[in-house]
Amino acid sequence: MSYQEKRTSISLLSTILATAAYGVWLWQQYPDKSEYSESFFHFWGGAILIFIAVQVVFKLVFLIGFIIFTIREQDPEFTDEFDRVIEMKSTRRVYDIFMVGFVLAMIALVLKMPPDTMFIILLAFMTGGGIIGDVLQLYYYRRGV
Amino acid sequence: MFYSFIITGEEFEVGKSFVRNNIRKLRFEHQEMTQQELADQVGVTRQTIVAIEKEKYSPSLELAFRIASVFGVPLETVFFYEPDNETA
Repeated sequence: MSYQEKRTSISLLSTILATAAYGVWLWQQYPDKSEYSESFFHFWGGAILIFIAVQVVFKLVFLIGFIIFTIREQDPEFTDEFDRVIEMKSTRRVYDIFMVGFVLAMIALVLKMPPDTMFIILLAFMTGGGIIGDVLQLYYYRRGV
Repeated sequence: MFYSFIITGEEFEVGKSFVRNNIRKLRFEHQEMTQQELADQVGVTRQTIVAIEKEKYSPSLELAFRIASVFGVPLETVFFYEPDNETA
């Protein structure tokens, strides 16, 4: 496994662990579904913002740990045009996936589904997009672009 | 963006480059230059040289010229276009 593949695997692992840990915590904090007051939307707004922060912190901690553990490796840490092409292609797919999620979330609202359905769809596609983006990067490193 | 995702299905055909190369042969002819040495001279990672050698990635024109320059040969000596018979 190359340095770049290891780095991407670490990023994937951090996304999965951050999502799992935060998902468990969020489930415990979940408000009563019987009423959709202002506090409900306040909860979901905060939940998504905190989730973004948690993901950033997890990614930073894992990547710093990875750099420390691989400091003796010969492979350089810079990104070249091959890395940039792979990153660009996978990021594009992440945006595509998020866009599909956004449209589905809007459809859920139009169909008068509960508001939490919309937030769950957004969160799921946001996380799913991130995970698929990392998996795609691994795939492109192995198969080429 | 979303439409292009649906329409341009060819983007999923990864690793189907028709640009062939003689990098391995040229490295051998230049005192068995290692992939890392070539990578250092052209300013990319070894992984990128591996991908180019295995024809999993077609380099940018600039990188192609830099590789040719390291070997001191014209670009077409290093890279050449060879489409499959089916698509030709």
